[in-house]
Amino acid sequence: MDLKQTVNDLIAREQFKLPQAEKEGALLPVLAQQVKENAAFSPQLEKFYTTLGKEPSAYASIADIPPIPVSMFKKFALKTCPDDQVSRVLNSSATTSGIPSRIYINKETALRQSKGLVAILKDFIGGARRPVLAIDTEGVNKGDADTLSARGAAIRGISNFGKKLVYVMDEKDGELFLNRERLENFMAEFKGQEILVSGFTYIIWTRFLKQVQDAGLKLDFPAMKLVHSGGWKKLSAQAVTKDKFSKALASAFNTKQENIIDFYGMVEQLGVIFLDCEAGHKHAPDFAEVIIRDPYTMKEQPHGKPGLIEIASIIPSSYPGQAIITEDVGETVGVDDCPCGRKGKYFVFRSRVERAETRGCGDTFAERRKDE
Amino acid sequence: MIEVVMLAGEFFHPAHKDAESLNPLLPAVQAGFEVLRKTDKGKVIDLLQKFSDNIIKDPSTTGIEGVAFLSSWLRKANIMQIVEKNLKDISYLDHFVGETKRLKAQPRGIACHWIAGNVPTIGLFSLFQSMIVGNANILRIPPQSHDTMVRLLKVFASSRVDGLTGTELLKSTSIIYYDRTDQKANEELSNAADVRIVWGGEEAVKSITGLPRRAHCEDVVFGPKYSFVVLDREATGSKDLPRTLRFLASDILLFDQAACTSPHVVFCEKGGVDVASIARLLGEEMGKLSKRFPKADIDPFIMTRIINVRAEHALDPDASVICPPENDWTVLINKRPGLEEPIESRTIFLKEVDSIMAVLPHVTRKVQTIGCAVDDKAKLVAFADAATSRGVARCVNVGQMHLFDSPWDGMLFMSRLVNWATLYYGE
Repeated sequence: MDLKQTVNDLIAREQFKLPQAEKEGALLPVLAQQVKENAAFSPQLEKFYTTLGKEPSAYASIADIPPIPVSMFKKFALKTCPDDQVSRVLNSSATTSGIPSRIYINKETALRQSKGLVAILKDFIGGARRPVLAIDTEGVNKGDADTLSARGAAIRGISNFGKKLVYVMDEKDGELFLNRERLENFMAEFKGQEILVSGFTYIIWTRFLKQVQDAGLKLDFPAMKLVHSGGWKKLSAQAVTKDKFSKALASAFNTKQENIIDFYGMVEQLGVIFLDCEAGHKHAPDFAEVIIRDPYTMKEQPHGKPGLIEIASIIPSSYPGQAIITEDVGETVGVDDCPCGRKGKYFVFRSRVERAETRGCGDTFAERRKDE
Repeated sequence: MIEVVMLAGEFFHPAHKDAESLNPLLPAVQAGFEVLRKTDKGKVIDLLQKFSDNIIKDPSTTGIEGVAFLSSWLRKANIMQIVEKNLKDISYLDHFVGETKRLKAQPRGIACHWIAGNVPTIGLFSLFQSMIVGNANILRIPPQSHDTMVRLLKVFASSRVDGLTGTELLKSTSIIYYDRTDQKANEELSNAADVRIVWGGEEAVKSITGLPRRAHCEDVVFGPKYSFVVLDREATGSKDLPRTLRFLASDILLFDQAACTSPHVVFCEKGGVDVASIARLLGEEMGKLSKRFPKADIDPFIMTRIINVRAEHALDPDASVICPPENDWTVLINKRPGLEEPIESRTIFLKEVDSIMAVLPHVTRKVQTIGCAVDDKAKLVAFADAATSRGVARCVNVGQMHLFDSPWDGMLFMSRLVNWATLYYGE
């Protein structure tokens, strides 16, 4: 097997076409070989894979690969290529723990990430380049080019499809304000045209939408697509559901609710994002897989049972991203039979893992947990 | 909204009774207080002995975690030694004792208990000590412990000695629950208290002790604590090591390692059996116990912490991990000096030290219990003296870390629940 060629073929092809069994058959040997190469390159990774799993040649399914917890990218410099091939080190924003993840990227990985993202987005929003309205400040993608926040990553990804990128918010004293002039110019120039809108869900709801409504602005982009992600924990606390969000934004842009698309993704797994389909499900592309694990047994959960979300991907060759387990909870809904027609597993995101309640007199951990 | 689980001996569980406010509940508890005040305290202790016998026989309570220990704690001999340690003599509870200057240990009044959810039976240790000295009691107990408490208290209610029943004594007691964010209910409970007894973590303790209270109200706080174990080279090199590790496994597994007495780190002195072998043997014992006592409560948050700490030790070249595929028990070895952030749920760190005395710099006032398998008794005494001078409350045998005793957290609890009253008269 020419590993690189197989990987490139799986990423470049039209996505969401492989039925689950075929997909597992295609991905498993690739992932197993990549894990083997990771272990051969790094004694640290070899120790990890052998301590917590079996020989890659004995993997019977993708779920047999021991997943690396996403937080390990904050604690260790996890690399699978020589230093001189690292073209960029991405530092994720450290919103929760205060410590950023460090992701080592070589040219090959960067190219695959870009191709993977394009392949996924093409399937959801079409391939045509169009104007992009970023609901954020330009600063989110400026400054240290190696630091990438979840907010910035979403906009960068979408901007691959942009022929013109307009940031519509300004930052002043740490607060975001709508730049009405830029928005009105954008409306005047592209009114009625197909446009893309991208941004962080929480900012769209609490800053953009509110200020647009307060200003009495009427947007008119029936042919737009809004792709958004992040901040659902805070929004849920404000009783904002996905349906309520989509309805309000569709109304604000004078478009259909189906054009408001939520997605799930992470900086540690760039190139793989999970957009909501018309049926409200998130789909794994043909070059990646989602595994929902029972938090106790670590076995794959049956459909409808919530568990920890793990993302497996064949994209990375510079860091061990073949299987990364998150601290997010989701559940698979089905396989190969989503009404939208996409093949493979489909799932829904539920929440971040939260501690139920402070547990009592043994809870000395609580002191350090305050900011998490 | 206050959920009433038990009021003056009447149970409302699982369908609890709602109350808008605490105040309407108080008269019933106060009436029960008068009954309790007049009851001979020796008879109360006899009834607890009966209750002790009943809970290990009654099918509704035999399977409850910690019930065997609760039963032994309730035995008359144990309760009497607690009373004598705290009050010198039980007769101080029933009448004035002495000549000319006479003393009586009067109840403080209403004891309000904020009980943590980590050890389901902890509310009973708190309640019965307060009841013995004659206080009325209102306990705010988290919902996850309601079932255990009600099952046990129903057996208590039906216990009978010389015409005295548990139901009679429970007339002075109420069990309630309200959400921790319910400030109004919290303030009402605090204002009703003549003594506030708080069991919990830092956050809970701070929020409760910050509530308004009456000027005379006494506070007894059992705050967040940390525990660990030391094994000296004589103990690890001894033929008794498997037995010690069996006891250690039991200390780790009980209460899902969420109690203040739960060990999180084991310091192994160099020179006996090597730490890797101890880890392997301990893993075997934890594996055996885990099969007998499967995890009952799977908290995904703690599971992610287990996943993370296992991965961290598997990736660290200077550390190692022994564990089954599922997130059950985990034995971790590392070379980091000092204590570790508790993971809980059967997760233990092992560290090698040159001497158990090298652990002392890491002992803070947060440390409550040190389980000691130290065969060199001179070393044990020196270690315990140094550790307790740094704030440690208990140095006990491995296998006895969870034995609730008096004093607790360095306090003679029962003595804090009484008002010492004097009566002077002479010839």
